[in-house]
Amino acid sequence: MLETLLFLLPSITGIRQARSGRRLGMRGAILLAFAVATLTVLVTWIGGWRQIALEKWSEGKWNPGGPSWQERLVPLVVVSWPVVYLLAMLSVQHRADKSKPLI
Amino acid sequence: MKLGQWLINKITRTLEPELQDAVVGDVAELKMSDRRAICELVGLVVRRQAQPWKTWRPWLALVGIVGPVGVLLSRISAGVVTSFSIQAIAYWKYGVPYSSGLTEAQEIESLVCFSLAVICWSWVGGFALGTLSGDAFYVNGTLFCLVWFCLCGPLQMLIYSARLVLNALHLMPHTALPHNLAQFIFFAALP
Repeated sequence: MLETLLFLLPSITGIRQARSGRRLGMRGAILLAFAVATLTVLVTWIGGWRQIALEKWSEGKWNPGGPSWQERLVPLVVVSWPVVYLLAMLSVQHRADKSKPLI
Repeated sequence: MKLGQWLINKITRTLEPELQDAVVGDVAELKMSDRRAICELVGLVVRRQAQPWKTWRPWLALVGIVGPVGVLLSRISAGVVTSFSIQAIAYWKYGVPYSSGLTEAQEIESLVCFSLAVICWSWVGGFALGTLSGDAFYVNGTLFCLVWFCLCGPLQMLIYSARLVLNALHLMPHTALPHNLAQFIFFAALP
């Protein structure tokens, strides 16, 4: 149920909006990229909290280990790449539109 | 209606509406046997479905989004749901939060942040998939939903439930429930 809300519904909404020909404006794409980047950084940072909390709780005697921030960041960068693609495509389109002669 | 005619109708319906009448007309005009007509129609559908795959975009959607993004998002969202479920069960059964070393505020912040991130990544992934796939959307969309179905949807739940029941009946050793793909395949392959 919750997986459907978190993953399937937003994906299907995105697919349907793309299929219906909805275009992201340059401003929308930049905002989206900013939101994705912020959330990626936040998730990377928050992902290390548990490790730090356990180390603190044991007064440094127990280090539970776990992935470093770089290792946590890699899969998040992979799931974020579509926004880079969207941004790149839009900027190419934007440049092409600008270079078109007015008459 | 004969099975052959029924199949011909079904296959014809998968074609674009403007093509359907022409194809039905051709089949009737050429007076083909049902078997021959089915073979020809399947060939036509396959050729038309293969057409969009001649460009690089649907391939990028398949290799770049359906594969890695679908699998990773399934795993991340399964992790978020597991954390959420643990907290919900602890509150419901014992009236206290499950302590993993974080404060209550930190737990809430982490759940909200992870949930928002998964929603955002999923929408962007879906949008890029829809944009890149073009006419190959049916294949890529089906595969994307299949990834969800197998890795964090009903099939995964079914395997979890089956393992819980088998553990409870002492029919299986008490090991951690499968959470990653390797374990998933290992447990799924168990007789």
